[in-house]
Amino acid sequence: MRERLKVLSNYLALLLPYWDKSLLSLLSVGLCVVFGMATPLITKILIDYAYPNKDVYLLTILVLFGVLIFIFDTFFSDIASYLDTFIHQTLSIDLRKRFFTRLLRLPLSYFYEKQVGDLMVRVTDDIDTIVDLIAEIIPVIIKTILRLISLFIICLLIDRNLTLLALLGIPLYFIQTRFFAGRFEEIQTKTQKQESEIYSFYQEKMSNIKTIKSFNQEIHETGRLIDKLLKMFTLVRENLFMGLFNSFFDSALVVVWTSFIGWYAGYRVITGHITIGEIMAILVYLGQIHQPFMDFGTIYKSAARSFVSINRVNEILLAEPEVYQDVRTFVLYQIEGKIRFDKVSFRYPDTEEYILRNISFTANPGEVTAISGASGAGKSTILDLILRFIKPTEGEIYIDKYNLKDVSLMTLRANISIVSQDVVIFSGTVRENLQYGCIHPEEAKMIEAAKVAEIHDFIMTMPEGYDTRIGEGGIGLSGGQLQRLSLARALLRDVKILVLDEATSALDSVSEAKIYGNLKQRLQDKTVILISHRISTLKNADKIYVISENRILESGSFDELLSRQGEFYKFYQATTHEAKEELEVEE
Amino acid sequence: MREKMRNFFLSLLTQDMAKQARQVEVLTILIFFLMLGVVWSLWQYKIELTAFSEGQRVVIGKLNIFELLLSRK
Repeated sequence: MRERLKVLSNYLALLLPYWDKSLLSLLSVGLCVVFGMATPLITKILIDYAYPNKDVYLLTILVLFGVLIFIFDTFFSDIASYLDTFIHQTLSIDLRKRFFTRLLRLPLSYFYEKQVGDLMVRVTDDIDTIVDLIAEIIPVIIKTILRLISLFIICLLIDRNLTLLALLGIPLYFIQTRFFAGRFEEIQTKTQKQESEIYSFYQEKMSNIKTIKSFNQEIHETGRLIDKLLKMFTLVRENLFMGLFNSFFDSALVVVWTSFIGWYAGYRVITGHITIGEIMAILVYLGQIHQPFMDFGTIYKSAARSFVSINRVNEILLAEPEVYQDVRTFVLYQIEGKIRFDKVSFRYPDTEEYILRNISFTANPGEVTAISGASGAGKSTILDLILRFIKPTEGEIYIDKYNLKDVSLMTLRANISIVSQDVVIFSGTVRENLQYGCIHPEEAKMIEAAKVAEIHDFIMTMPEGYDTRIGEGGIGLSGGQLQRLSLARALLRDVKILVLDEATSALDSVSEAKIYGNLKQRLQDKTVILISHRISTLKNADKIYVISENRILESGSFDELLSRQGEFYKFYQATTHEAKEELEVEE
Repeated sequence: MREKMRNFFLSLLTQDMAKQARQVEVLTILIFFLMLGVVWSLWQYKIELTAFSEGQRVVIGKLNIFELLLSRK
């Protein structure tokens, strides 16, 4: 319980910037509670005094007072509602921003472990639930407590005995609410987990729709979804049954308790302890007391759900982020761009198998350094290591004289451009996509980069040129066009180090050769790292490192490696047919 | 003054959520003080309670509305 209050207080701190609005909202709520007390008292005076004495003057005064109360009550209740909505919306924005910022700062390894759908549920439903707790449930709790206190005070003023008897029913409410809340929380945890799984399922299937269709798996996937939905249905049904039991016990308790109090109140009138007006007022008040108790039950259940969400969101907010920059890190400024791997080995935590072992090589500025090898040899892991998405298990990586682990992550990534084999295009215009991550985009430089990547002419054939929408909801592009666009984007950033990870795999040899011809002129002082297993691509490298079985087997220029007749030569031989065809086309 | 009031109420319809919320706060505080004034006036205003006695209406007490609502007799 103490732990929960501590967690809750952290979230309540989010209300601090809105303390004035929260205070005003509470004041308005408090006033509404007081106004709500007046009507039964007016009725009491009317019944006990104005009607028996035929006092029209008093009747008029009381009606006017009632109207005045109604006007103020409506105004302050609307104000409280407006301010609560304002706080709710702004808190929601605050919390989503905080969550998303932290999420983007988490190491890449975190995203390998989590499903996208699960993260989506956390950033939408879970945050909504937490905001509901802070912005709605807590004001309701305060309102309910204020209402209860006022009701009891006023009831005590009218008839102490009756009120004390009414108080005896309270512990019963708490016992049954607590009993059910524990079970609700248990079901809620399972439901939210299942909900995340379903979201992840949708997300995964939508992104791989081509594969599903090509394997004729539509019916199979629908079956899998139905399984998941049925599991969800079972949980919802459990929740529903629990809700029905809870509601039944709630109502039964209310009926038995109020009937008994009603009987005792009647007895007090008959014995002359209270007037008819007083019994009317007190019965209205006691009726109002039930509502807050019923509300407490609902609040308790909502809070239980919210705490499940808090735990899920906290998993992200409290996860260790990547340190982008602090006083201990070096800022990379005007670097040469020399990259040196010194006996680097890597394996994922909790696994024994090494992906890279004892890798040493140097990529110099002004040179094209290629890393080659069969699929799964660990080529792309080298890219992840350079960008520090992952850290070496053993060994060191240097940029110029700086050890990569001591370098500010922000400036490291600002000095590297990558063109990955999985091209990502965001929904937006061609211009927006090309200028992504570019601090000072200039029109002329953008066009120049597009020309180097041999995509400018194609862009100009599009309906609105550089302002044509592409990606989701826009024009679809072929694999080769996407790769050219991605290359142009990387070139526009004009950084010292360019990493091309199978960047031209979707291009034909002629186009590829043309692009590399353009690149050689433009990238004379840059460090270019080529990651590829295509002979046509590797021919463009000054030095090639061949990786096999997680280590560097041999290195040298294209011709040197062929003349050495080692592993690379065998690979060349194996693909000679394809290579010959490519060379013929080039010639 | 009329122009200022007009501008104030017009600004309540602004699209700027933060500005609008600020105006609502000001309005609430104004109404709150108006309400305090009304409460004070009601506190001062004594209601004459009358009853029939021997065919005539006689004053049996003077109370303000709050005393009247909370009185048990």
